[in-house]
Amino acid sequence: MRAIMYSFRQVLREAKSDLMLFVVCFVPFLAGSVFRFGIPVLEKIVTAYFQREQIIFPYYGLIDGFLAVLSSMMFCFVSAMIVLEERDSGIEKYMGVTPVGKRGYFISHFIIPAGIGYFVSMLAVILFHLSEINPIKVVVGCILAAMCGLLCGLIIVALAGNKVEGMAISKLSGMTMFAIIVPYVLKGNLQYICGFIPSFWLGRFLIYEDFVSAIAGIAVSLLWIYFSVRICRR
Amino acid sequence: MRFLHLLKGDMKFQFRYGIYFIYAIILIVYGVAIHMVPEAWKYRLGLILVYSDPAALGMFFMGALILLEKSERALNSIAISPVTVDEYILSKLGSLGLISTLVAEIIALQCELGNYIWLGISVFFASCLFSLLGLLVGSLISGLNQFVIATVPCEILFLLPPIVYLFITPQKWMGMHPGIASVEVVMQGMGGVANLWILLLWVILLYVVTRSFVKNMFIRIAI
Repeated sequence: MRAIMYSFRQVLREAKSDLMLFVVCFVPFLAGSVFRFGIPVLEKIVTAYFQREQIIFPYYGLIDGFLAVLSSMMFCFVSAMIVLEERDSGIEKYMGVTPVGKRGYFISHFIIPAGIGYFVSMLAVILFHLSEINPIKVVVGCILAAMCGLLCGLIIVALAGNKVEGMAISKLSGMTMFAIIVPYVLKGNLQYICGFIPSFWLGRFLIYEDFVSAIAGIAVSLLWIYFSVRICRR
Repeated sequence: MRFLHLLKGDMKFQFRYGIYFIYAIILIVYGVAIHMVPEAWKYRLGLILVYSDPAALGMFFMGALILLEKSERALNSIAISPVTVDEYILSKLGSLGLISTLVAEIIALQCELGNYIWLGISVFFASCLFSLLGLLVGSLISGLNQFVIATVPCEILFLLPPIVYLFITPQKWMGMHPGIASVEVVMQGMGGVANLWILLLWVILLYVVTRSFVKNMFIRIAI
């Protein structure tokens, strides 16, 4: 455990030197305040422009979901970038033969940041929510969001061989978050085409608040995490 | 001839690093999204997509490209080779500009934006502008996270105004902004030639600044 915490301190030190630590702590609250105070104003402008009663209002829950995912994703994205830097300089390989081990490296670089991201996203959602929230919705929704964020970081590390590939894949892994929109815009069974993407289940949970969506989301995320970790270990 | 080799090499690397592949997937995702939105929104959505993604891809990838060249010591070789700073920059601008223009044209076709030739020219120059910004920042940083942070103000300054511009009453002076100038070229076609000159002026200005930074980077590496 001490080795893992030491490895995590290294991640913090690295992030601190790049100012990234400050940014990841700051961005969820900045984005949250922009959403909380900017979106209602924007709603007024676009409803007046397109002369409709509501345009963004039905999607306020979705925006809260985005905020939760964004907070978790930021922490895991920073970790993924640090892993890529360490991979390029060869540190990642050496970590495997130190007391930290591959498992410890994974925990210190992904699980702990995702855990912190979870609490930050909960705080951001509680402070800046636009839709109606309740304790179950926040706790479970943020678990799903944290898993989406963790997966986002893991996909980058699993598929990228270097920084450029990392940036390219980060674009793609970030896009998987957009499946959260699908349950809002696609009604009927057609939406289940996106059922293999974890954020889709987060979107469904935000609408229906049902445990089937929550369990399905956790199961799909775990499956993705399992395969991503296996690819990373290769 | 040397420039063409450099351009070919850059394109080959970008293909190998998966940038083309990623954009093929992104185009599919955008295609699905475009077909899901109401007809009335397509034009504005198309413009937003074109200027927030393909046009700006140079800024997104440039940091990673430079850092990889640094860590693989490719820049050391380039710095002491006969390749000039101008050739190095122009090859990066050309190779990334090509992907930007290609992707933007496909999005434009899906959204039926029209003025396709003007759009191509405008996106190519906008892409050069963003790539130059990326090069400028990339020549000063030493880590990927640093690059991501450093490009955020550039993104806000250069990407946000054209998007806001689409939803407000336009004023003539706003066309001085390179992003807005670029959008205006697409919206007005031939009528927006003046805006194209403004955009070109921005590119030349930024090129001069970036060139000195890249030159310094080459000197630092070569010593």
